[in-house]
Amino acid sequence: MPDRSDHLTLNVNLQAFGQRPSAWQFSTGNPAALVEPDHWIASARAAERGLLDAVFFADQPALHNPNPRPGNPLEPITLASLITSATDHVGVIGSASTTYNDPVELAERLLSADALSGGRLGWNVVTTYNKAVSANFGLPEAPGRQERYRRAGEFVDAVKAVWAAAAGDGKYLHHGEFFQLEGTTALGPSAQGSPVIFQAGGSEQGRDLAARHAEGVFAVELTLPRAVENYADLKRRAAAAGRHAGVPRITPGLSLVIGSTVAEARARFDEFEALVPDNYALRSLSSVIAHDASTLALDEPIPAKILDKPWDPDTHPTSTGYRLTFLDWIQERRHQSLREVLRDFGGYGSRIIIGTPEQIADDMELWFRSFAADGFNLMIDQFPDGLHTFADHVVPLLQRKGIHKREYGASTLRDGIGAGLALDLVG
Amino acid sequence: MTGTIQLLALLGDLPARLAAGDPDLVRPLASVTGTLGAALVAGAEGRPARHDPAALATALSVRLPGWPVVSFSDGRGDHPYNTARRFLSVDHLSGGRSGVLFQTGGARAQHTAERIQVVRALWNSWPLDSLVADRDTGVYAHTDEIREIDHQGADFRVHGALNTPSSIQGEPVSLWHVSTAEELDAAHGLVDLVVLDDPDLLHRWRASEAEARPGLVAAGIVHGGEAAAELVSVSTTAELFEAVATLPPAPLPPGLPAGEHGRAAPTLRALFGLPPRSFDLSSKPLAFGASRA
Repeated sequence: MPDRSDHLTLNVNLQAFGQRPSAWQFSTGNPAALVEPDHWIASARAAERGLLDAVFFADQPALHNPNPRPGNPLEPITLASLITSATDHVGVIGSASTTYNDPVELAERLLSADALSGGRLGWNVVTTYNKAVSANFGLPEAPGRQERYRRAGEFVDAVKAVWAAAAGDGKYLHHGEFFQLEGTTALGPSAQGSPVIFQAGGSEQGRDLAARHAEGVFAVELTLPRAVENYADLKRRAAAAGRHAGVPRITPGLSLVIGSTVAEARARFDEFEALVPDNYALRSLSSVIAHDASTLALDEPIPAKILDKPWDPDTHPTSTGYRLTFLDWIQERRHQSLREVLRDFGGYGSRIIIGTPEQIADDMELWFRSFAADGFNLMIDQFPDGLHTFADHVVPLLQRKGIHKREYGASTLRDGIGAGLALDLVG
Repeated sequence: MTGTIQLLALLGDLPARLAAGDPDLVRPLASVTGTLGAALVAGAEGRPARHDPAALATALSVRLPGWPVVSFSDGRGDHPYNTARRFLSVDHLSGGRSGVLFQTGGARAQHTAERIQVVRALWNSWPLDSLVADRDTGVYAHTDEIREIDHQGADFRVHGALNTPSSIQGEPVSLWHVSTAEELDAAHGLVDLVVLDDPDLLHRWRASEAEARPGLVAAGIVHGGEAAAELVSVSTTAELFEAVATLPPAPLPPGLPAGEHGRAAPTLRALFGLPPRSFDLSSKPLAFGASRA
C-alpha cells in the first residue's frame, strides 16, 4: 500500500448514550444522565485516552420524540465549553445552523468559546433541512436546498469576516444577498486564530462549500470505490479553490461494535438490537430509499422499481450524499432479503463494522492508505464503555501500524488535524 | 455585611482569568462555595462584548462548581429558541444554579417582553420529571407531559417544544434590567426579579402591589433594604476579594460536613427563596399525543 506520512484524523460523534438506539437501556439507569456534566466529561476523557482529535456534536434545534431514542438535549457550543474546561487536549466540534442563526452573533459566540478553550473548538457548518426546526423559528417551511446553500456560503464568508476583524483592527464589513454587515468586534483571535471549520453535507452544493471553506469534512461513504472517487474529487475542488494541500481532512462516518471475537461482537450487536422497536431500522431505511419500507415483505428483496426510481437531488428530502452511496452499497445486496439488508444497514447513516479490533484496525488502514479517507468520524455503540474499548484495543493496533499518533503533539485542534497552514480568513 | 445577596458583575480581566482557572482567583472562591449569598455575573461588560456569556458561564461552572452564575442576554441576533436552549443548557451544567439577566438591547419593551415570554414558555415545555429511563417497559420518557408552546405573537412564532428538558431548579432565575416605566410594567408576572438603576423606577416599583411585583435587584441605587439582591461591578482582584469578604452567608442545609458545599450548594432559586415557578402550558397542545410512551 502507498505510504502516508500523516496520521489519522479521528473524531467521535457523541450521540447521547451511544450510537445504538437502545444504548440508554445499557447505561447506569440515571434518567437525567444526559443533562448532567458527568456523562459528557467521562465520554470526552475516554476520547482523550484514545488520543482522538475531537468529539463531535450533531444538532437539530427541535425536539424529536425521545422514545425510543433520546437525542442530545444540550446545546453543542455550550457543551464544548464544558468539555474543553474539563479536559486538557481533545477538541470539540459543534454543529450550528447557517439557516437559523445570525452570522455576527454566531461568529462571536464561536470565537469566544474557542478563545476560552485555548483553541480547541471546531464549527460544523450545517444548513438544517428539518421541517420541525423551521416551525420553531417562525418559518412555514424549510427553505429549499439551493437557497439554504446560497445563504450558507454567504454566511460563512460573513463569519470569516468577523473572525478576520478579530485578528486585525476589529472592524468588519460584509455586503451580500442575505447580509449587510458593518461593525466592530471587541474579541481578539484565539490560540488557533479562529475555530476550525467542518462541513457535513454530501450534495453538490455541500461539496462546493467544503472545497472553499472546510478544514474537515464529515462524509457518508458506504463503499470503498466511491469513497476514493469522492475523496479525489473534493481534494481537486479544494485545490482549484486555492486551498492549502492538506485540507479539507475527509472523515467518513464509521460505526463500530467491538468484540474480542467476531461472535462476541455479533452477540453484542444483537443484544443492542433486541431492545430496539422493530420499525426503527425500517423507518431509517425508508428515509434513504424514499419509500415506506414497512409496506415491503421482510423475506423478499427490495423491489427493483423502488431502488431504480428516478430522483431529483434538489428535492430529495434527506441527505443526497447518503442516497448516492447507499445506491452503490445496495447493488451487491439486491438479491438479499429486506431482513438481511436491514442487519447490514445497522450503521443508520454510516458504514458499520461489527468485529474484532484487528478487523477494525485493518479496515481503517485500508481506507486511509487507499486515500478514501484521512480519518474517521467514529460512531460508538455506547458511551463511555465502547469508547474505552476502542482506546484500549483498537488504538494500540493503529499506533503499531504507524497511522495514529502516540501522544498529543499539538495544543490546538487546527494543528492537531494538520490544518495549521490552512488558516486563511480572507478565502 | 449587608445581608443582601450580591451579584458580582465580572469586568476587566477577571472573566478570562476565572474561566482559565487562575488558581489565585479560583482557590479562595472555591473555598467558600455554597456558603455565601452571592452569584457571579457573566457578560456584564455589555457591547461590544469580549466574551460570550454562555461560554463564560459554563467555564465558570466548571472552575467553581457550586457557585451560582447569571448570564446577560441582550437578544441581539439571537432567536428565542436558541436563547432558551443555550441558557437552559448552562443551567443544567451549573447544577441548577443559573439565572439569565435579560436586557432590551435597544429593542422595544413589548419586543423584549415577548422574547422573555417565549424563552420561559420553552423552558417549561419539557418537564424533567418526564424522563424515566424505565428498562422494564422500554420507555425513556413519558411524552404525554411534553407540550408545544404554540406561540403566535407580534414578533415571534415559535412552535416548540424545546429539545432541552427543564432543570432541577425548574428553570433559570429570570431577571430583567428595566430602564423605562413601560418595561417595568411589562416585567410584572413575567420575570422573577427586576434590576433597577433609576430611583424614579424604584418609586414606581414600590407603589405596585407587593404580592404581584417581581423581586428587586438594586444596581447602584440606594434602597431601604427591600432589595433581594444588589448588582455590583468588580474589575480587579482586590475589588473581587473585598466584595467577597462582605458577602452575607447563604442558607445552608443542616448537618452538612465541611467541604461538601460544592455538591450541596443550593440552587439559585433556593438562594433567593423563589418558588419553583413554572409557566402554565396546560392549554397548549401535547407535542406527541396523549399516549403514555
